[in-house]
Amino acid sequence: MTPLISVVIPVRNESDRVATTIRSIADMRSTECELEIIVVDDASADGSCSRLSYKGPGVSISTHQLKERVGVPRARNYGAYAASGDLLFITDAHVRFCGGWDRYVLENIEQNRVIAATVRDVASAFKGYGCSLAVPFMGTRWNKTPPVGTTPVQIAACIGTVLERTLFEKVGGYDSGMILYGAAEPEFSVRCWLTGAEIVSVPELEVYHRFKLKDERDRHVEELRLSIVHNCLRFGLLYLDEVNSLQMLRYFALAFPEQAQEAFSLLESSDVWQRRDFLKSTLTYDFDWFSNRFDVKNLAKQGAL
Amino acid sequence: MSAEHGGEASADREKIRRVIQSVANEAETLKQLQDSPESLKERFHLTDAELDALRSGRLHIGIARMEVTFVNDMTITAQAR
Repeated sequence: MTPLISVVIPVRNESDRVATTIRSIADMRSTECELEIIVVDDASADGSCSRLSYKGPGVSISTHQLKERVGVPRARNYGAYAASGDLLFITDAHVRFCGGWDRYVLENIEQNRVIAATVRDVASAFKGYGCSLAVPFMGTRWNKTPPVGTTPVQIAACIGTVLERTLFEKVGGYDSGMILYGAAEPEFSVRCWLTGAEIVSVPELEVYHRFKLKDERDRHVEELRLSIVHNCLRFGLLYLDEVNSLQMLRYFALAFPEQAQEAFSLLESSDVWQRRDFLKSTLTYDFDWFSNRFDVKNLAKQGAL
Repeated sequence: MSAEHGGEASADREKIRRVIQSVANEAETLKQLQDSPESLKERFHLTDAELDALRSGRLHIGIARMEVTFVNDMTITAQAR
């Protein structure tokens, strides 16, 4: 029997796009796999999920309206834990899937494997084949070189992350200590590796993504800058050693002076140290293993980009 | 790259925790962290290597502007000011 694929879509104020996204996902299938689309409306003000439907075989849509904003990582968790499919396809509200996406998923998914879809910009020739971690500030860089075949990558972009639901549960989902937006997806990928899973780029599996235009992006980042700074710091403190942590602290203090004190305050009152201890006691590998696996170097010590 | 992933947590983590706590509660410590990390050495019992790490944090400003993305939703350079 073909497994049910659950596509998890967090939505916030994107009522004009999510219906098109759902239609694309459903229409672009090339197998008869059953599809469950889980839309988690993160307290939108525009009624994003009130009238979503798809008239076609093998597709069910489940909408979950959250009363209070929880942020993208927790909204994704909500959707994933509400899913009933064997497979989870975690994506965004403003995407289109390539033709035959389900076939690429079914042909390449394995136990303990996360598939990183190729992310294409709808407005340019850009393609990203997963991402790489930038230490010590815990940001990411797109992998722009096309891989030959199925290739291990450090990070699956949030727009196209595919894995078995049981693996998602084993890894523990996205870190619910990450607030609103930023850093949760690369942290999840790193934790997948440290749990003993692998992440591979499947170049043929393409998700067309609408990257934000500059003005929209600036507003978006401005609104979320505090959570981005906090989440990157949390990510680093969970895994980095003391020296890299100190570098990271000063970097963020200098680069984001208006948010630094509040971000540090949020960290101080958070569970970051308990979380670090928990990860240390439960993960199969440590961050040193990940660094060696991918030859991750501190970018300043590396000397060049 | 050294990354001991929580090994020997207590003493080493305690320094980081104290720095974070102090910055969170005192604007002056944030200013020292930004402008004169040397002034933090004695207070937080930092080793020379740890002080060097703080100093080198500034090097990352330029590096982070080069195609490092802090949010996975967009192809942007860092939004550092």
